Amino acid sequence: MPMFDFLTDAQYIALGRVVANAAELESLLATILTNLLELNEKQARALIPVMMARKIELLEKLHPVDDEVGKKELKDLTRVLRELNDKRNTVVHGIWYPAHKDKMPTKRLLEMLVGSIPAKDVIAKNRDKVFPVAELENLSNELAIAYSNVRGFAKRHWLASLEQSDGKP
Amino acid sequence: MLLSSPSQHKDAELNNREMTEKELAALGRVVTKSAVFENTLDWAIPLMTKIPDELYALVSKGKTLGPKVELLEAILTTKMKKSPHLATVKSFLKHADKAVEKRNVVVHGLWSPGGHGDGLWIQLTMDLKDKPIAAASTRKQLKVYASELSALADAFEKLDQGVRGAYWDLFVPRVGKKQSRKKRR
Repeated sequence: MPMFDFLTDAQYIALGRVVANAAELESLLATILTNLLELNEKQARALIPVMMARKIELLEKLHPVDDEVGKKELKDLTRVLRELNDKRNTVVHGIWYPAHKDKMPTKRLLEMLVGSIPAKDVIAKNRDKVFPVAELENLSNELAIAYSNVRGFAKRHWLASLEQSDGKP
Repeated sequence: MLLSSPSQHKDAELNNREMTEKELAALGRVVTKSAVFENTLDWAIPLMTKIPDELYALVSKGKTLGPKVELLEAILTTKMKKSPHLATVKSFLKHADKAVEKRNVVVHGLWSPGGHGDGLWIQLTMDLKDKPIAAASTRKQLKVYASELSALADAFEKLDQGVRGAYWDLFVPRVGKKQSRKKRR
Protein backbone atom coordinates (compact mmCIF):
# COMPACT_ATOMS: atom_id res chain seq x y z
CA MET A 1 0.00 0.00 0.00
CA PRO A 2 1.50 3.35 -0.96
CA MET A 3 2.10 5.97 1.68
CA PHE A 4 -0.29 8.87 1.81
CA ASP A 5 0.82 11.79 -0.27
CA PHE A 6 -0.46 15.09 1.02
CA LEU A 7 1.68 17.35 -1.13
CA THR A 8 0.87 18.51 -4.63
CA ASP A 9 3.44 18.40 -7.45
CA ALA A 10 4.01 22.15 -7.06
CA GLN A 11 4.65 21.69 -3.35
CA TYR A 12 7.10 18.85 -4.02
CA ILE A 13 8.93 21.14 -6.45
CA ALA A 14 9.09 23.87 -3.78
CA LEU A 15 10.37 21.33 -1.27
CA GLY A 16 13.05 20.13 -3.69
CA ARG A 17 14.09 23.73 -4.26
CA VAL A 18 14.47 24.31 -0.51
CA VAL A 19 16.65 21.22 -0.20
CA ALA A 20 18.87 22.09 -3.16
CA ASN A 21 19.27 25.73 -2.09
CA ALA A 22 20.10 24.71 1.48
CA ALA A 23 22.69 22.25 0.16
CA GLU A 24 24.33 25.01 -1.90
CA LEU A 25 24.41 27.31 1.09
CA GLU A 26 25.93 24.54 3.19
CA SER A 27 28.49 23.86 0.50
CA LEU A 28 29.43 27.55 0.37
CA LEU A 29 29.97 27.59 4.15
CA ALA A 30 32.19 24.52 3.83
CA THR A 31 34.20 26.26 1.10
CA ILE A 32 34.63 29.38 3.22
CA LEU A 33 35.73 27.33 6.25
CA THR A 34 38.16 25.40 4.08
CA ASN A 35 39.65 28.69 2.92
CA LEU A 36 39.75 30.25 6.38
CA LEU A 37 41.51 27.21 7.79
CA GLU A 38 43.73 26.89 4.71
CA LEU A 39 42.93 23.21 4.39
CA ASN A 40 43.55 20.99 1.45
CA GLU A 41 40.75 18.75 0.13
CA LYS A 42 41.73 15.75 2.25
CA GLN A 43 42.03 17.82 5.42
CA ALA A 44 38.70 19.53 4.69
CA ARG A 45 36.97 16.17 4.31
CA ALA A 46 38.24 15.15 7.72
CA LEU A 47 37.83 18.41 9.61
CA ILE A 48 34.87 20.39 8.25
CA PRO A 49 31.81 19.42 10.30
CA VAL A 50 28.98 17.62 8.54
CA MET A 51 26.16 19.38 10.37
CA MET A 52 25.15 22.86 9.21
CA ALA A 53 24.75 24.08 12.80
CA ARG A 54 28.38 23.18 13.54
CA LYS A 55 29.53 24.91 10.36
CA ILE A 56 27.79 28.13 11.46
CA GLU A 57 29.32 27.83 14.93
CA LEU A 58 32.79 27.32 13.51
CA LEU A 59 32.36 30.28 11.20
CA GLU A 60 31.54 32.50 14.17
CA LYS A 61 34.54 31.30 16.15
CA LEU A 62 37.04 31.58 13.32
CA HIS A 63 36.01 34.94 11.94
CA PRO A 64 38.92 37.31 11.42
CA VAL A 65 36.66 40.39 11.51
CA ASP A 66 38.01 43.20 13.67
CA ASP A 67 35.73 46.17 13.02
CA GLU A 68 32.51 46.58 14.95
CA VAL A 69 30.36 46.96 11.83
CA GLY A 70 31.70 43.70 10.45
CA LYS A 71 31.14 41.92 13.77
CA LYS A 72 27.55 43.13 13.90
CA GLU A 73 27.01 42.07 10.29
CA LEU A 74 28.40 38.60 11.02
CA LYS A 75 26.21 38.28 14.12
CA ASP A 76 23.10 39.14 12.10
CA LEU A 77 24.14 36.81 9.31
CA THR A 78 24.69 33.80 11.58
CA ARG A 79 21.41 34.49 13.37
CA VAL A 80 19.60 34.32 10.03
CA LEU A 81 21.54 31.18 9.06
CA ARG A 82 20.49 29.48 12.30
CA GLU A 83 16.84 30.41 11.76
CA LEU A 84 16.94 29.12 8.19
CA ASN A 85 18.69 25.92 9.27
CA ASP A 86 16.00 25.33 11.91
CA LYS A 87 13.29 25.73 9.30
CA ARG A 88 15.19 23.55 6.83
CA ASN A 89 15.52 20.80 9.44
CA THR A 90 11.78 20.82 10.12
CA VAL A 91 11.09 20.67 6.39
CA VAL A 92 13.57 17.84 5.74
CA HIS A 93 13.08 15.70 8.85
CA GLY A 94 9.43 16.45 9.52
CA ILE A 95 6.43 14.37 8.58
CA TRP A 96 4.05 16.11 6.20
CA TYR A 97 0.39 15.80 7.01
CA PRO A 98 -2.79 17.88 7.05
CA ALA A 99 -2.82 20.46 9.82
CA HIS A 100 -5.68 20.70 12.26
CA LYS A 101 -6.14 21.58 15.88
CA ASP A 102 -7.17 18.14 17.13
CA LYS A 103 -4.99 15.07 17.33
CA MET A 104 -6.08 13.10 14.28
CA PRO A 105 -9.64 12.22 15.27
CA THR A 106 -11.37 9.52 13.26
CA LYS A 107 -13.31 12.04 11.20
CA ARG A 108 -10.11 13.69 10.10
CA LEU A 109 -8.52 10.32 9.37
CA LEU A 110 -11.43 9.44 7.13
CA GLU A 111 -11.11 12.78 5.45
CA MET A 112 -7.47 11.98 4.83
CA LEU A 113 -8.35 8.63 3.33
CA VAL A 114 -10.75 10.13 0.85
CA GLY A 115 -8.28 12.86 0.02
CA SER A 116 -10.43 15.90 0.69
CA ILE A 117 -7.84 17.76 2.73
CA PRO A 118 -7.01 21.14 1.23
CA ALA A 119 -3.36 21.09 0.17
CA LYS A 120 -2.72 24.54 1.64
CA ASP A 121 -3.31 23.20 5.15
CA VAL A 122 -0.48 20.67 5.04
CA ILE A 123 2.36 21.09 7.55
CA ALA A 124 5.68 19.44 8.36
CA LYS A 125 6.07 18.48 11.99
CA ASN A 126 9.38 17.51 13.55
CA ARG A 127 9.33 17.11 17.34
CA ASP A 128 7.75 20.34 18.60
CA LYS A 129 8.41 22.36 15.45
CA VAL A 130 5.93 22.96 12.68
CA PHE A 131 6.39 24.35 9.16
CA PRO A 132 3.44 25.23 6.88
CA VAL A 133 3.65 24.11 3.26
CA ALA A 134 2.65 27.56 2.02
CA GLU A 135 5.96 28.89 3.35
CA LEU A 136 8.18 26.61 1.23
CA GLU A 137 8.59 29.06 -1.62
CA ASN A 138 9.53 31.83 0.84
CA LEU A 139 12.08 29.58 2.49
CA SER A 140 13.78 28.74 -0.79
CA ASN A 141 13.94 32.48 -1.58
CA GLU A 142 15.36 33.25 1.86
CA LEU A 143 18.00 30.56 1.39
CA ALA A 144 18.92 32.06 -1.99
CA ILE A 145 19.28 35.52 -0.43
CA ALA A 146 21.29 34.12 2.49
CA TYR A 147 23.59 32.44 -0.02
CA SER A 148 24.14 35.77 -1.71
CA ASN A 149 24.70 37.57 1.59
CA VAL A 150 27.16 35.00 2.92
CA ARG A 151 29.06 35.09 -0.34
CA GLY A 152 29.11 38.90 -0.31
CA PHE A 153 30.25 39.03 3.31
CA ALA A 154 32.99 36.50 2.70
CA LYS A 155 34.21 38.44 -0.32
CA ARG A 156 34.26 41.75 1.54
CA HIS A 157 35.78 40.60 4.80
CA TRP A 158 37.68 37.38 4.35
CA LEU A 159 38.37 35.92 1.03
CA ALA A 160 39.67 38.28 -1.57
CA SER A 161 40.51 35.28 -3.64
CA LEU A 162 36.99 33.85 -3.57
CA GLU A 163 35.85 35.87 -6.56
CA GLN A 164 38.79 34.74 -8.64
CA SER A 165 38.45 31.10 -7.67
CA ASP A 166 34.62 31.27 -7.57
CA GLY A 167 34.52 29.40 -4.30
CA LYS A 168 36.82 26.58 -5.26
CA PRO A 169 39.46 26.10 -2.57
CA MET B 1 25.20 29.39 -8.53
CA LEU B 2 21.90 28.41 -7.02
CA LEU B 3 21.01 25.69 -9.44
CA SER B 4 17.51 25.24 -8.21
CA SER B 5 16.36 28.80 -7.81
CA PRO B 6 13.79 30.49 -9.99
CA SER B 7 15.08 33.12 -12.38
CA GLN B 8 13.69 36.05 -10.38
CA HIS B 9 16.59 35.83 -7.90
CA LYS B 10 18.95 37.91 -9.97
CA ASP B 11 20.88 39.01 -6.91
CA ALA B 12 21.60 35.43 -5.93
CA GLU B 13 24.23 35.02 -8.64
CA LEU B 14 22.26 32.47 -10.53
CA ASN B 15 23.19 30.79 -13.73
CA ASN B 16 21.23 28.76 -16.22
CA ARG B 17 22.08 25.31 -14.89
CA GLU B 18 18.82 24.93 -13.06
CA MET B 19 17.36 21.59 -12.11
CA THR B 20 14.11 20.83 -13.90
CA GLU B 21 10.82 20.93 -12.01
CA LYS B 22 10.48 17.19 -12.47
CA GLU B 23 13.86 16.64 -10.83
CA LEU B 24 13.04 19.02 -8.00
CA ALA B 25 9.73 17.27 -7.35
CA ALA B 26 11.53 13.91 -7.25
CA LEU B 27 14.03 15.40 -4.80
CA GLY B 28 11.10 16.58 -2.64
CA ARG B 29 9.65 13.07 -2.71
CA VAL B 30 12.94 11.52 -1.55
CA VAL B 31 12.89 13.92 1.38
CA THR B 32 9.32 13.14 2.47
CA LYS B 33 9.61 9.36 1.99
CA SER B 34 12.90 9.16 3.87
CA ALA B 35 11.40 11.25 6.69
CA VAL B 36 8.49 8.80 6.95
CA PHE B 37 10.99 5.91 7.00
CA GLU B 38 12.91 7.63 9.83
CA ASN B 39 9.67 8.17 11.71
CA THR B 40 8.81 4.47 11.34
CA LEU B 41 12.22 3.52 12.76
CA ASP B 42 11.54 5.88 15.67
CA TRP B 43 8.45 3.94 16.75
CA ALA B 44 9.50 0.47 15.56
CA ILE B 45 12.90 0.30 17.29
CA PRO B 46 11.53 1.00 20.81
CA LEU B 47 8.73 -1.53 20.23
CA MET B 48 11.11 -4.19 18.88
CA THR B 49 13.53 -3.75 21.76
CA LYS B 50 10.88 -3.01 24.41
CA ILE B 51 12.83 0.09 25.35
CA PRO B 52 10.64 2.82 26.92
CA ASP B 53 10.11 5.80 24.61
CA GLU B 54 11.91 8.14 27.01
CA LEU B 55 15.00 5.92 26.99
CA TYR B 56 14.92 5.63 23.19
CA ALA B 57 14.68 9.41 22.98
CA LEU B 58 17.91 9.60 24.99
CA VAL B 59 19.66 6.87 22.99
CA SER B 60 18.66 8.31 19.63
CA LYS B 61 19.22 11.97 20.52
CA GLY B 62 21.26 13.61 17.79
CA LYS B 63 21.37 10.37 15.79
CA THR B 64 20.76 10.68 12.07
CA LEU B 65 19.07 8.16 9.81
CA GLY B 66 22.24 6.10 9.23
CA PRO B 67 22.87 5.24 12.90
CA LYS B 68 19.17 4.39 13.31
CA VAL B 69 19.44 1.89 10.44
CA GLU B 70 22.51 0.47 12.21
CA LEU B 71 20.37 -0.02 15.32
CA LEU B 72 17.75 -1.80 13.21
CA GLU B 73 20.48 -3.96 11.70
CA ALA B 74 21.69 -5.03 15.16
CA ILE B 75 18.13 -5.83 16.25
CA LEU B 76 17.08 -7.78 13.18
CA THR B 77 20.28 -9.77 12.71
CA THR B 78 20.20 -10.79 16.38
CA LYS B 79 16.55 -11.75 16.16
CA MET B 80 17.06 -13.71 12.93
CA LYS B 81 20.42 -15.24 13.84
CA LYS B 82 19.20 -18.83 13.53
CA SER B 83 16.49 -18.21 10.98
CA PRO B 84 16.66 -19.51 7.40
CA HIS B 85 15.50 -16.00 6.38
CA LEU B 86 18.63 -14.30 7.72
CA ALA B 87 20.01 -13.78 4.20
CA THR B 88 16.79 -12.00 3.13
CA VAL B 89 16.96 -9.73 6.16
CA LYS B 90 20.63 -8.95 5.48
CA SER B 91 19.80 -8.12 1.88
CA PHE B 92 17.01 -5.79 3.04
CA LEU B 93 19.39 -4.06 5.45
CA LYS B 94 22.01 -3.68 2.71
CA HIS B 95 19.40 -1.96 0.55
CA ALA B 96 18.54 0.31 3.49
CA ASP B 97 22.22 1.23 3.96
CA LYS B 98 22.62 2.10 0.28
CA ALA B 99 19.40 4.12 0.17
CA VAL B 100 20.42 6.14 3.24
CA GLU B 101 23.87 6.77 1.82
CA LYS B 102 22.34 8.04 -1.42
CA ARG B 103 19.74 10.07 0.45
CA ASN B 104 22.48 11.88 2.37
CA VAL B 105 24.26 12.80 -0.85
CA VAL B 106 20.99 13.92 -2.42
CA VAL B 107 20.05 16.11 0.54
CA HIS B 108 23.47 17.53 1.46
CA GLY B 109 25.41 17.29 -1.79
CA LEU B 110 25.92 20.02 -4.33
CA TRP B 111 23.80 19.62 -7.48
CA SER B 112 25.63 20.31 -10.70
CA PRO B 113 26.10 18.97 -14.24
CA GLY B 114 27.94 15.68 -13.95
CA GLY B 115 28.15 16.15 -10.18
CA HIS B 116 31.33 18.22 -10.61
CA GLY B 117 30.21 20.98 -8.31
CA ASP B 118 31.65 24.43 -8.49
CA GLY B 119 30.42 27.05 -10.96
CA LEU B 120 33.63 28.36 -12.49
CA TRP B 121 34.94 24.83 -12.83
CA ILE B 122 31.90 23.95 -14.93
CA GLN B 123 32.25 27.11 -17.01
CA LEU B 124 35.88 26.41 -17.72
CA THR B 125 35.21 22.80 -18.59
CA MET B 126 32.60 23.35 -21.23
CA ASP B 127 32.11 19.72 -22.13
CA LEU B 128 30.65 19.12 -18.66
CA LYS B 129 27.71 21.42 -19.38
CA ASP B 130 25.83 18.73 -21.24
CA LYS B 131 26.36 16.11 -18.56
CA PRO B 132 23.29 14.98 -16.63
CA ILE B 133 22.79 16.78 -13.36
CA ALA B 134 23.94 14.97 -10.21
CA ALA B 135 24.52 15.55 -6.52
CA ALA B 136 28.00 14.80 -5.32
CA SER B 137 29.58 14.27 -1.94
CA THR B 138 33.32 14.77 -1.80
CA ARG B 139 33.30 13.29 1.70
CA LYS B 140 31.70 10.04 0.57
CA GLN B 141 33.14 10.16 -2.96
CA LEU B 142 29.69 9.34 -4.25
CA LYS B 143 27.46 10.77 -6.98
CA VAL B 144 23.70 10.40 -7.36
CA TYR B 145 22.12 11.43 -10.66
CA ALA B 146 18.80 13.27 -10.78
CA SER B 147 17.45 10.44 -12.91
CA GLU B 148 17.83 8.13 -9.89
CA LEU B 149 15.66 10.25 -7.58
CA SER B 150 12.27 8.69 -8.35
CA ALA B 151 13.64 5.19 -7.81
CA LEU B 152 15.21 6.33 -4.55
CA ALA B 153 11.88 7.73 -3.32
CA ASP B 154 10.21 4.40 -4.18
CA ALA B 155 12.99 2.54 -2.39
CA PHE B 156 12.26 4.43 0.83
CA GLU B 157 8.58 3.61 0.52
CA LYS B 158 9.45 -0.09 0.22
CA LEU B 159 11.91 0.09 3.10
CA ASP B 160 9.23 1.68 5.25
CA GLN B 161 6.82 -1.14 4.42
CA GLY B 162 9.60 -3.65 5.10
CA VAL B 163 10.21 -2.34 8.61
CA ARG B 164 6.49 -2.31 9.38
CA GLY B 165 6.24 -5.87 8.06
CA ALA B 166 9.27 -7.01 10.03
CA TYR B 167 7.78 -5.61 13.20
CA TRP B 168 4.48 -7.37 12.61
CA ASP B 169 5.97 -10.70 11.49
CA LEU B 170 8.85 -11.00 13.92
CA PHE B 171 7.92 -9.08 17.04
CA VAL B 172 4.14 -9.23 17.45
CA PRO B 173 3.22 -12.45 19.34
CA ARG B 174 1.12 -14.99 17.39
CA VAL B 175 -1.65 -14.82 20.00
CA GLY B 176 -1.96 -11.11 19.42
CA LYS B 177 -2.27 -11.67 15.69
CA LYS B 178 -4.98 -14.31 16.12
CA GLN B 179 -6.94 -11.99 18.40
CA SER B 180 -6.54 -9.19 15.92
CA ARG B 181 -7.89 -11.41 13.12
CA LYS B 182 -10.85 -12.47 15.28
CA LYS B 183 -11.66 -8.86 16.07
CA ARG B 184 -11.67 -8.02 12.39
CA ARG B 185 -14.18 -10.81 11.73
